[in-house]
Amino acid sequence: MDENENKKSQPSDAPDEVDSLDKELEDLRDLFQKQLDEETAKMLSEENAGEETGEKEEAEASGDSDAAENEEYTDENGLLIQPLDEIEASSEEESEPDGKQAEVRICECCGENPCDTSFGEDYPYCSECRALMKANPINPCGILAFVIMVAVCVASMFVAAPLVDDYDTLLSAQTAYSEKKLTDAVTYYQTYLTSKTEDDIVSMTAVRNTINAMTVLGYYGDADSLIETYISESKMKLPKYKKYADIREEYTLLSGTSDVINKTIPEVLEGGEFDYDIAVKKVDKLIKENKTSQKYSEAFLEYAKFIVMLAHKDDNAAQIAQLKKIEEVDGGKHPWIYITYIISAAAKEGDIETATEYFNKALEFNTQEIALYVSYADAYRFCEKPDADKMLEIAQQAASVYPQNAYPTFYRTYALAYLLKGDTEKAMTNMENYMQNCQTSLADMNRYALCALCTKDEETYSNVESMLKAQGYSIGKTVQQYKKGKLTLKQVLTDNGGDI
Amino acid sequence: MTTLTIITRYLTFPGALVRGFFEQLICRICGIPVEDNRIVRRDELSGHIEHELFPKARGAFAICFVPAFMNGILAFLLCICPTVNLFMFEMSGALQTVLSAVAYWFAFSLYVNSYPTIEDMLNMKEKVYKEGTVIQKIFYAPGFLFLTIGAYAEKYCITFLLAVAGFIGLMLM
Repeated sequence: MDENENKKSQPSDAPDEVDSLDKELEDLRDLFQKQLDEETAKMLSEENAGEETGEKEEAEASGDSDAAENEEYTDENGLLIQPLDEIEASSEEESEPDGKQAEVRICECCGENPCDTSFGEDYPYCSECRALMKANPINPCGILAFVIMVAVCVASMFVAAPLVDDYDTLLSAQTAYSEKKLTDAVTYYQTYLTSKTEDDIVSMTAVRNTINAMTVLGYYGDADSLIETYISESKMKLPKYKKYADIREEYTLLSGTSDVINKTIPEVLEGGEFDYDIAVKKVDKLIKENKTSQKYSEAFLEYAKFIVMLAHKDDNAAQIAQLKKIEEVDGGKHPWIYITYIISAAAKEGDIETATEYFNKALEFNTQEIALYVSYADAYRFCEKPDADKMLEIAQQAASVYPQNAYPTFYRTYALAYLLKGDTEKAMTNMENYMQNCQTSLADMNRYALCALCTKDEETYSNVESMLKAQGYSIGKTVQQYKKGKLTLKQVLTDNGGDI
Repeated sequence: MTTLTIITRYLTFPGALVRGFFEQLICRICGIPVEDNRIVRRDELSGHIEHELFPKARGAFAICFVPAFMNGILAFLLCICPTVNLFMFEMSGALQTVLSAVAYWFAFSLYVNSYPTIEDMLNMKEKVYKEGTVIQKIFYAPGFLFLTIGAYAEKYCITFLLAVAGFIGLMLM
């Protein structure tokens, strides 16, 4: 056998093994050849004659190598001895048809059938196994997991379904709360909370936001009762709820201060006729006696002094100074005590700068305080250069923060702004709206009468006059002076310290 | 990494089982032989079924996209009610809390086990971007990008870490 052919028949991935096998085969061939030669020589010497030997000698002498090579020999036991080359050649011939069969790959799955090569030469499975794989059943664990998940999904939706109305109310409340529309937020939250019984699950977000909104608006009593109902003592030890323990403590102290003020102030004011200096001294004494470490209570005592100032109709500058002192004492934490009053006093002073500063501060806490807008708009009426357009802009801003004109006080601002602009018809329309939708004061009746005069509506003017007369009042001096032509409309609207 | 992947599969086995379910469903619909339908197991294919590669672009895309999409939808639906109740309005009744905890675990596991194997993703790339039409290339592009990122993220357990971070964030809200 050729050496190269021998190598080809070996696995190509083990060259070292092939080399060693080749060497071994060569050694064996040499050994067998040597033994054959020895046996042949022995036989020849033993028999030493014969026809066959003669023929062989002749054949060898004549150089007929084929005949010599094809010669078959037997050993002393009668076994056939064949030259090694012939054995290798014959075994190569025999193995040829088997070599083709080894190239047919068997299915990796069943290990019996040949692979289905129609899906590619390297396809590892037979067609039967492929069909079985295609029909492989879906893993039951997967189906079960899917069913359980859908069931949990449906169950959680069933649990949530009865709460849809609550979600709606709470979402409205949350939106109002985030937009700083605290009046609306508190209304929505209270609607939700009052609809709940003791056994119902209550939204703690609603509880917390209601309490927060109430404290900003100054409804400390309501906030305290909500804390008592919904937040337990143990819960208040958690960091998230610690704030509410502080609110309760604050409220307890404030209640004490408030009681003292409520008792003292009526005594000090003595039914409206009092000596301002004595009253102030009494309140100062009150402040000194009831001073606490709590800023809120201290600010509230200072507020009592402001009430005395307000009752005395002290000058606006002094009121502003007192209110700023309250702000300082309080640290700006409870703006409901002072902020509306500051804007109002600044407006009467025509102090646009202070009014704007505190108006913007107030909007950071709560945008739904109609008094803020009315007072701030008035600031543009009483300032050096009255600005009717700015008043209209502020009235428009006020209208936009209240749903469905819940607080139509801004109609009055519209009316006064239009009067200032000289558009008396629009002024009258807005004033009528205001009169129909709001609780009116004596000043409002006078504004209405002024609008009637401006539009030359004698009938309305007479009606207002008779209405006031029926209650023991009369048309205000300013309006009467305007009627007599002693004052211009601009003078009535801008130069009268805020009152018509 | 394979060990870590297998651990995350075991921790989030409900999601892995559902993905396996959808993968096998797609194979059945497309007539693709499934070599091994075990889903949660101890090798790198854990969380997936072993199937032959899809010969067409549509099928190759479907085996990657459908399980991801369905897991995403299911996770979202499972999250809505617990999130509204527990985190938005803090309504914590006993039944709601238990249901919410289970729903969150399921949603978490679904999110972690949303994406295809790298093998399926590469097959999709081959079928769509080497053999597909221009329209297919454009139509499948957003999904391909999303699934490619997801497949690699899931291989290196990044989806698991992101889900943990998301859950912690929700708790701190």
